[in-house]
Amino acid sequence: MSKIKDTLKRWMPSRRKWIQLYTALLFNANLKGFVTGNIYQGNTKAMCVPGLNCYSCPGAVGACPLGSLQGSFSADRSTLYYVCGILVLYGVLLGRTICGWLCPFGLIQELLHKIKTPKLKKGPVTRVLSVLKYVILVFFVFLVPIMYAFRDTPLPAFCKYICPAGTLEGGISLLANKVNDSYFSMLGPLFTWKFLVLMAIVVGCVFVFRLFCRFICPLGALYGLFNRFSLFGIKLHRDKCTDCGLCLSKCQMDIRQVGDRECIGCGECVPVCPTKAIEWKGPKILVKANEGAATEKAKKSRLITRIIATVAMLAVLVGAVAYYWNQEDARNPNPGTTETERGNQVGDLCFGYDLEIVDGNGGSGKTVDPTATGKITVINFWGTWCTPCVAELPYFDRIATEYADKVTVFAIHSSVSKETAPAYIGKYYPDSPMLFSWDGGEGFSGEYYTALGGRGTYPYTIVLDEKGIVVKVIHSSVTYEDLKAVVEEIL
Amino acid sequence: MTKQTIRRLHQIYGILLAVVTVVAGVCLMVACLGIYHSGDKPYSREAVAAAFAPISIPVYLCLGLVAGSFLLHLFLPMEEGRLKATPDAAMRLERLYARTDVSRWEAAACRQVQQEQRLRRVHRLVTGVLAAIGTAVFLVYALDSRHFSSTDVNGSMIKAMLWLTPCALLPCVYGIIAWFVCTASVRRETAILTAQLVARVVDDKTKATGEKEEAVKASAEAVEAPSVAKRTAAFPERAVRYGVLAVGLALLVYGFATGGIADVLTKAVNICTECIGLG
Repeated sequence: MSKIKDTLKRWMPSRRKWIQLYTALLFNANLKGFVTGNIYQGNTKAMCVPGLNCYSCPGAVGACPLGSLQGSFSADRSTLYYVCGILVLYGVLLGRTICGWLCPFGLIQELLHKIKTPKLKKGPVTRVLSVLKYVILVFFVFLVPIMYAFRDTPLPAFCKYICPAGTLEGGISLLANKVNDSYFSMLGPLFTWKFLVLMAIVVGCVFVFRLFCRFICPLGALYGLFNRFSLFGIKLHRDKCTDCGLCLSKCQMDIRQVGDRECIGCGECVPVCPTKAIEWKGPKILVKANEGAATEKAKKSRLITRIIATVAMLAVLVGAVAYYWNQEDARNPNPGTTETERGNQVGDLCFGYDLEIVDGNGGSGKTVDPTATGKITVINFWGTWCTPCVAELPYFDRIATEYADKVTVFAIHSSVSKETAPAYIGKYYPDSPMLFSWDGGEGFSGEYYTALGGRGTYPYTIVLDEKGIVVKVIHSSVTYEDLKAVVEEIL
Repeated sequence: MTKQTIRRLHQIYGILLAVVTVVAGVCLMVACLGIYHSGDKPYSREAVAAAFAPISIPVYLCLGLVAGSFLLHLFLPMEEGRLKATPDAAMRLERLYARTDVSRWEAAACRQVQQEQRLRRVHRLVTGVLAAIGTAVFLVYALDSRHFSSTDVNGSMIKAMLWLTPCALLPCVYGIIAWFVCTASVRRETAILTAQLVARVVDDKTKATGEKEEAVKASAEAVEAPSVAKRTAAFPERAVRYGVLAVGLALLVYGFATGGIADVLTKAVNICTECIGLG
């Protein structure tokens, strides 16, 4: 009996693991998204979650703080204040305890490290490598996005070139669903690179404890700066410490002392300290002192508190899953302006729409139906907030200029943040032959975008022939050569 | 089975699993590169599945071995090793200094310690200078907006990375070398310090009680006892915490009130395909 009890004790996940699993589920409570292959588009996504959790994950119900921070440099200053405020708040309250207890990607790394292979231990090399995440923070999260923000090109460099959470939770989760088969057409060098990064990190995590967390994660680097004065975390009483080093041996992170900027507050060191010099810090009502064995009465009261807390947390999780399950999918095609004999697939007569022409001063009041131009029509859905969209817009401009008498190019801004479009058009394309417009309707997916089969991904391009028949549907960004080849083929 | 046999069994299984894991990982990477280099654009689910089919054997083998390793640990558990204390050399040195009176040291010991400290200072300085040079060189490149083209974002990033890599690598490599040198130096200094501390305690005790054995015991206790000395100036933790908290709250409220939330929502509810690596 005692053997079974011992085995169970050894194999049962720790309280920290349960909480990690709980938060991973809570941050990804939109389980319906995994079934439908769509991301959640409700208002809770305006709130950043504390851990690294890609907002393009079908299950995500909140925004990624790191993605939002990079995006905020090219948005209004108020966005930057809002995101910085959230990050500072999380940092001051929890510090890197977030990494140890609340980060879904941290959980994935720890589970991978559970695979029973020989492990690479920490040492001087890993300690120096832990500085790398600060370099990544400065370069990929601040410097590059800010430099590109000056050029009105939003570029979340960390998300685009490194983030393995984005590749796994966003990219692969979306690709795994058959509904998103069209996304395979977008894959190319970028996905190859990101897949290689992901695989290197996944394999590395088997041998190195929290490889991504320790050497790469800029969010951890940012939160680490708050560790020294965060409300919750681990505290070392220097007067009780004998520098025996047991805590350093137990800890798998590259700490120099308990509670420094590398400490993720996992609490593994608390029970090993022989002089009880290590304690949890936080309000006394929530954190108990490290005073050795508790009395029977204290144990009983703690058990009751734990049961109540567990029930409450489960209720919140079940409630959240139920709530998100019953939300309407905003991106299911529901074109209100379409005619039954028309469609959005190759070979269909394309859905028509009276698009309002927009110039540098705003809406002009003039409307044009892209299916009735009598010329080859290229319809490009873009947004000022979307990096590849603004990067490929010059190619459309070039096509519109070179084939002015044979091709009409429509550049339709997404319905969200469409108010930013006129200024952008006025600044960069004041005399362009392209016809700029913006998508109508309320909500996040514009009416025309939805009608033409858009599934929340930008940029999105449809090419029609002179009769308005759909010839090509492109779910990814395009090059000038791609566009020219399509046009030449029709001509 | 003896404990040693079980330990050996776990070690062999672990090495096997490690090899298979690396092989499976490399196979996945090679398959991905193979798809890319095949150039069969546009890719499709079927094409990707076909490319990954040949590597299913190492991947399934790896998964099977992972499951097997857990079963092995369940039925033949390995005794966990005892936690070995590894005190941080610099911390230990600091603790020893807190209770030593340098004025009573022998001159030779002082010279040796000064030498060690000078050596560490030089290495720290060189690391710092290399880091500063690396940062400066890179910033000169990075702060020139012409190096970041809007039309060739990937090309610009590759060029920037080519600049960044040596700038970051050089101080890192030197830092690792300096680390080894400094740790050895700290150990040497600790030995000198311990010897001086023990000698002084033995002297004092022998003078006071005349019993050498008791004096040696007292000196050992003095070296291992916790230091009560205040080593660093008190950090105003509470003041900083609430100050930063107030700043964070002010930023959040101001950003929220002026509509900052809308842009976060915009990014979060649309999929920027490049941002998640799709292309």
